[in-house]
Formats: sequence, C-alpha cells, structure tokens
Amino acid sequence: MATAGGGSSKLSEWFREWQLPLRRFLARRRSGCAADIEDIAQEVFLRLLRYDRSELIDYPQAYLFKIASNVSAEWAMRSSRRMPHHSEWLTELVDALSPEAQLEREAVDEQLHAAIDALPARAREIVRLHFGDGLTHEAIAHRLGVTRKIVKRDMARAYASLRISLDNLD
Amino acid sequence: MSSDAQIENRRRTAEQAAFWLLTLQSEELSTAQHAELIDWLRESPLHISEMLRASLVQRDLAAFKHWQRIARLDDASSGAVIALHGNPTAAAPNAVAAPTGPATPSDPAARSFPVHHHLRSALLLAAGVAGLCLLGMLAFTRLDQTVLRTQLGERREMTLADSSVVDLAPDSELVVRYRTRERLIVLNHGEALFHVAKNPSRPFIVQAAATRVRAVGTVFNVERGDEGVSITVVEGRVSVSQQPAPAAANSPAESCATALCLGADEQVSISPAGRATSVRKVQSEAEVGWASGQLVFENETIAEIAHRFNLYNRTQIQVLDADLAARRISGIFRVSDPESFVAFIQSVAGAQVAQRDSNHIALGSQARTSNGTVQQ
Repeated sequence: MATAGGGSSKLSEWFREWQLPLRRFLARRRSGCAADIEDIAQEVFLRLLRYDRSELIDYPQAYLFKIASNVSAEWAMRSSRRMPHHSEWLTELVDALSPEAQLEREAVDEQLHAAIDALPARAREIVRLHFGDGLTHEAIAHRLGVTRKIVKRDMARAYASLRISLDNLD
Repeated sequence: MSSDAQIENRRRTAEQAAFWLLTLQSEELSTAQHAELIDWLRESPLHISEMLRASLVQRDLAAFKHWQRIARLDDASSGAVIALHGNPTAAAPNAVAAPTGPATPSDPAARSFPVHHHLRSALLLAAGVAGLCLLGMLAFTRLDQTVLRTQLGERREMTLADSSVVDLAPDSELVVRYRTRERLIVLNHGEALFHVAKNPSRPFIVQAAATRVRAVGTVFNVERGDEGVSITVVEGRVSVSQQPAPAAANSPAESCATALCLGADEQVSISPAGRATSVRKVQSEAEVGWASGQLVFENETIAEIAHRFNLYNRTQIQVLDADLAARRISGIFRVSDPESFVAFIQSVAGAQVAQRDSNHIALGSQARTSNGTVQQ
C-alpha cells in the first residue's frame, strides 16, 4: 500500500538514530569476527524465548522493538570498550579515504565479483539489474518477463549462494 | 569437515532467511505471516544469525562498484542490450527509440559514475539494511496497534506510519491505533509530545483517561499523571473534550459544545474527576523542553524538580529536608545533568549534600550538616 513505500525513508531516518551501534559493528565485520554475529543472534534468540508466543504474534512490533533496542544498546556498550575508533566508520564508508578501508573494500569486492559470476545466469542478471542498475523487483520482473515472485525467489537464492561462497572464502 | 547434507542444510536456512528479509522489505505482513516469522526465529539462533548474514550480503551488494564487469544476460528480445555489448556509442540512439527506452540503464549516459555509486552505496547503507533493523522494521508494518513504552531514564522519538512524530518521555506508555478514518493514540501513562502530520480527512486523536485531544496538523504535548491530564499546544490548534462515561463509549463524535479549543502557547489541565482548569497562557517551548533534552522549571518546588530529574537519570536525587523540598525555584537544566541541578540548589537554596554514592545523592539543608553546627 501507499504507506509502505512512503514510510521507508522515514524508517531509515529512524534506524539511523538507534541502530548506529549495530551498523558500526556490521561495517567492521571483515576485521572483526564472525563470533559477534553468533553472539548477537544468541542474545536475540534468548530474549525471543522469554516472551509468550501469542503475545509476540499479537504485538510483534512492541516486543521486537524492545529486544532489538536492548541488544543494540548492550552492543554499543561492549563495542565502546572494544573498538575505541569505531566512530570513523561512516567516513570510511562514504569517502573511502582510509587506505586500509579501501584495501578491505577491494578485497571484498573481488570475492564478491567471483561469487556473483558463479551465480546462475538469471539470478545474476536479477542481482545486477537491482543493485547495479537500481531497478525495482517489479521492473525486473517486467523486463525479464517473469513474475515478481520468481524475482524474489531468485534473489533469495542468490543471497544464499553469495553468503555461502563469501563465508568459505573468509 | 561439513558434509554435503550439512552444506545443503545451511543453504536452505540461508535462503529462508534471505526470503524473510526480502519479504520484510517489500511487503506488509499478514498476522499469519507474523506468526510464521516469529515461530521461525524462535526455532534456532541459527535462523537469526542467518538473517543478519543475509543483510550483510545485501549491504555488500549495495556497496559493490563493478557491475559493468559482471556479464549481462543475453536477452534476444532487447536489441539495445545486445548492441551495446559490441558498440555502445552506435547503440545509444537505438536505446532511446527502443520500447524499453527510458528504462535502459545500459545506456552509457545513464550508467552511474563512481561518485554516484559511492553516494548510493552510502544511502543504501544508511537505509539500514543491516542487522537487527529487520526486527525493527516489523514495528512499522501495518497492524492494528503498536505499543510504545519507555522505561525510567529513557526517552524515545518515533516516526509513525503517517510520518507524524512522537516523543515519548521516560516511564511512559502509549498505544498507536491507526484506522482508515482516524489516527488514535491512547496515552496509558506518562507524557508525550506529538508533531502531527497534516491530514484533515484523518484526524489525529490522543486519548488520555477520558480526555480526548483532537488535532489535524499541529504540535502538542499531553501529560497523564495521578493529578490528571495536562495538554499544552506548541503550534496550531487542538480541540479537547471529555468522553461522557466509559459505559457510553460508542457515543457519536464529541459535540462541539462540550469541546474546548486550545491554541498555541495555551495549556489546560483536567482533573481525574473530569474538571478542566481555565486555559492558561504558557511558554510552550519551556513546557516541552524535555523533548530536546532540557528541563525548564518556573517557580516549582525542589521536590518536583528532583522527581523530574529522577525520571530521566540513573542517579537519583533525594531531598531529605522538608523545608528545602517545598522551596520553589526557577531554572533551565540539561536533562542528563542532575549534577548541575544539585550545584544550583547548593548555591541558590543553600542546600548541602548530606550523603552521596554512585547513583544516589541525598540533599539536606545547611542547618543539618553532618557535624551538627548551624551555619549562616
């Protein structure tokens, strides 16, 4: 519905506010460690189990919001101890000024390039059209003469393949 | 060490995670899908970590800059794409004439320059594809109601689906119930400042106890405490009315005769019994200073002020002396800086810190210092 698209930019503004700590962590992933992802996942999982299922389903937003903000707040505390220089991350990502960040970015791009090349042809085209050319799922479906459902399914499969090949290369 | 079956299993989980991520980003979820997602997430921490990883893949793709080096799908139905492979400049006019003309991103002119790529990557990153954001996204999928809550010491600003913004003060709770005809907010307790997005056909209504505040596009503050409900308008106008009795809840829209109109810099308080004070002129910016991290006090008792600080901070201020507690002062303080308040009343009201540990400051008057002497 109309609100879905219009709301997303507002959403991102809001996320920027309170998800910074997590994004800092994620931005640092290559030099950080995979164990952090598992830690965070474990934390969220335990909290999800603490609540009653029917409550979660009735008010998922309230609970998930709380869980997400608590975990990210905790993470912020931990990260400030572990990574005193993390405030630089945004500049690095936007300007890519730092040589190390540049090198790291290139290494990731190289891995990603190989992994994208290895995708099945249609999945590769869908990913390219979306991220390279900025087409929406709908426009891609129209262009390739397939349904949106197939675009989404191929995209999900592509993410899964990329996630596995990137992990193996790490 | 992982077997084929393990790899296959991992791939399947990764695919499910990616599917949910894409679903969350593109569609509104039905209640049934909520249940499905919650159940899936509660099955294993692996599912949660895979969702995090899927969002990392998405982030990497968004930051990837070498799409021109990725092989294109040879699509016979689109002559322009094939022609571009061989000779971009010659094909450009074709691309314009082709039916898919404007949507031909392979046109060299439309191809993003590195700078744009950078910018877009940054924007995509900022769009929050990462991590637990996907959980947060659920908060704004369309549902019947959303409960927003803050704890002591916590203040929260939120943008609602219609782009109205709510600032929720500490220890407050409200429920958002958006309907097609109206936007209803129920303030269960505490205080909130509303910046209402204009929409005359969908009034914005805040209900606190039996008091209803109706706005179209405006900024106003509602506080609900033990002493009743207090409404302050910063911008625009609101109408304030009392609901008759809980029994007659489904009465038609409040009649204008009983409604009270409130304009900018006006404030009204309504007692728990439903009696309204007369409308006061106030400095609304001072009244809603809490939302920007300021506490503004005008002729308020030290006890009240200490209570306010205690709402926002871990450090709790205790006023031991009754005379001191009843003294009235005015001042503007940073919400996060109770020390400045303590310093202020030490110098202005002659208070003394009787006791202090990490999260607790007890204040006494000068007459009762620890050595028992009376000072002037």
